[in-house]
Amino acid sequence: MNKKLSFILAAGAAASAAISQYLIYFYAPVEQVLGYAQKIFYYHLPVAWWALASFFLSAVFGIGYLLKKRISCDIASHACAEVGFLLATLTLVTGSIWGRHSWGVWWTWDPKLTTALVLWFIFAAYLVVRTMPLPQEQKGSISAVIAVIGFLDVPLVFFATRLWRSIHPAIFHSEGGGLEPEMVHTIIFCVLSFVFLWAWMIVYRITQMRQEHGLGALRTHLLYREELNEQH
Amino acid sequence: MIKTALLLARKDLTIILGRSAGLCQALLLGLLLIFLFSLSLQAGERLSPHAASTMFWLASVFCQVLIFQMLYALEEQNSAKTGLQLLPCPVQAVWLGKFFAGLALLCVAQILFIPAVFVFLSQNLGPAYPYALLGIIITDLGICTCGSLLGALCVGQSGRESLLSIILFPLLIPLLLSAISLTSAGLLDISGYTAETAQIFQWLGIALAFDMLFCSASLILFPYLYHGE
Amino acid sequence: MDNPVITFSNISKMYDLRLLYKNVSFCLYPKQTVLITGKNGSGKSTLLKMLAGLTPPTEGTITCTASGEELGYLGHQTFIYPHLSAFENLRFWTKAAGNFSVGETEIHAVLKKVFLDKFAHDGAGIFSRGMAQRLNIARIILQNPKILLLDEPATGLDKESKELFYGVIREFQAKNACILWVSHSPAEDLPYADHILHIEKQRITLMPSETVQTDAVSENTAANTWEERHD
Repeated sequence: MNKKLSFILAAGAAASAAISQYLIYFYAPVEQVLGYAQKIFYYHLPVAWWALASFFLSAVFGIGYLLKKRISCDIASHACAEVGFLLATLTLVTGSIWGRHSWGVWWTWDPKLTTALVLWFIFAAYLVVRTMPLPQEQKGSISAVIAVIGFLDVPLVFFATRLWRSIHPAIFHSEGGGLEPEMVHTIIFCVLSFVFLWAWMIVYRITQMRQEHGLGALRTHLLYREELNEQH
Repeated sequence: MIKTALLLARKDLTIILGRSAGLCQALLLGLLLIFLFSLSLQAGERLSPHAASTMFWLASVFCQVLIFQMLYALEEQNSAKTGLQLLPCPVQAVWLGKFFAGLALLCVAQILFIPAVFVFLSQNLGPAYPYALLGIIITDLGICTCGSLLGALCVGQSGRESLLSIILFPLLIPLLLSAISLTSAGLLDISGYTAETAQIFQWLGIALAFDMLFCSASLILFPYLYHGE
Repeated sequence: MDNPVITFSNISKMYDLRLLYKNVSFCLYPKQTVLITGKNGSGKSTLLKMLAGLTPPTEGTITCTASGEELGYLGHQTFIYPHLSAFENLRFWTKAAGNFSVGETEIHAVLKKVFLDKFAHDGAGIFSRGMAQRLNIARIILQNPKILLLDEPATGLDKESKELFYGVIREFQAKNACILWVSHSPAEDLPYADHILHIEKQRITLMPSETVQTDAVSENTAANTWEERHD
């Protein structure tokens, strides 16, 4: 891994996390109805957005792998899926807590929530396929196909759940009206600054997986070179 | 390619309908699901059309997982899969063949499930039933499109039924939502019917969009799944 | 001389993380019967699979002048559906290979040729290894390919079945087919081949079979005597 890039990303992540904390607890006002529980919103939104971005990138690298059969695309797709899965899990947890406080239920067929859950399920299956004992090429293709169809499903899930909810009368009050400008500033900063942590995690995983792959290739090479030498 | 696909479908149906008990298992599982769900009813109570159509589609989807797992398992012995890959036609013919066979088997299953829903879950036919039928047909097409694509993924894997389920079910959610809405619209009586009409076409639109999207995706992606040893 | 039916140009192939061949090139012509030799895991079957289009080469191009219908594959795996009868299996595979007009009499004639006429309507699931492989041979006779890929087809056959198999090979040779043959017992099959393709150390050597001694092939380590490289 490029040490400089790693350092910049890590430093950026640390600094932006510190500033975010300050903004969340001291700059942004406390919400009148929900109180401190509303603060979870500032964590929920960044992880949700970057989870979606990771899944999108995973699908894009998947297409790249199917077209070019380059191992680097496969590794990048895998790393994005892993990070995306972690962030989607956090999204669902924070979303549920938020839902419990603002709507009174842990779970509802909200379009965004459902889309996140469906993506979470599909990429869970993706990670299951990753553990199967298959040749690299086959595993890469299968995973890429799952990532692609998973992402294709997103708009359909979104529209279907939106239509679905309108059948069931909207019991839950979903939007909290206009946000204070300080809240808007804070949320924008939180979402944008999360890019450092996100990019650092993905780059780190890609480096690890590359090293793992390189070691495997080296081992195979040495193993068979020994055999080639024996024949003399 | 269509000719080869039909040949494949005919061969699959000959084996599954004539020579093995696999389909019976899938049918019985679906029927049992519907029957057992009637336990949730109090004596004399009628299940809401919505819950009844949800049960119908759950039974159908479970049945479909078994059907496609069965269809692709036919090629596991004697490397018949390699034989199909060697055929002088695009490999998508295999996808299409399994799609036809799966569709036929799913229709057979549903012909059994529909009366079961009326009998065990005490439903009545409403005036919107043509839309419900149309919805069932469009949904079946979509379900079989995905089943045929993803069935290829699970060939020869251990635990393939559960693997197929965990990938397929989340993917099918938009289609199932529309199927459940359309089917329950067909079971509602006149008073409920008017409230539902506005959305019937939107649901049909979503189901059709799903079919189109996954049909084209399958044609493009299938060769990547159905290769290798 | 005829034009080559198969041309490998600058082929390299990775199998998982392992390099099987590095930058190999050769041509095959009609009427050639080529025996492929090499150690276990040297990539003999993979060579056939690349040719059949089952797995792509990592680098380089393979050109084959024959169409899909003209390419036949006979392996030790029989492709047989155990739930279908011998007759139904043959009818399915022949039609699927593109010959939709195949007649019942034709199928029965071939079944008779491979001594399976009595079992035509029995389920193929109960067939012994030899019977199943004879059914597989019947499939390839009906397909009548111009290029025949053999992947250890004689494994586990008894004496009569083997004689039948060699007879079928002679018939294909008479019809000017090009045969590529990964052999289970090279010494036994050598008399039927006119060329040998040896895979060793990621290289491929193609040479006329007269230059090779039978016992050397059976040892399967004959590479040291083969100094001459043939591109």
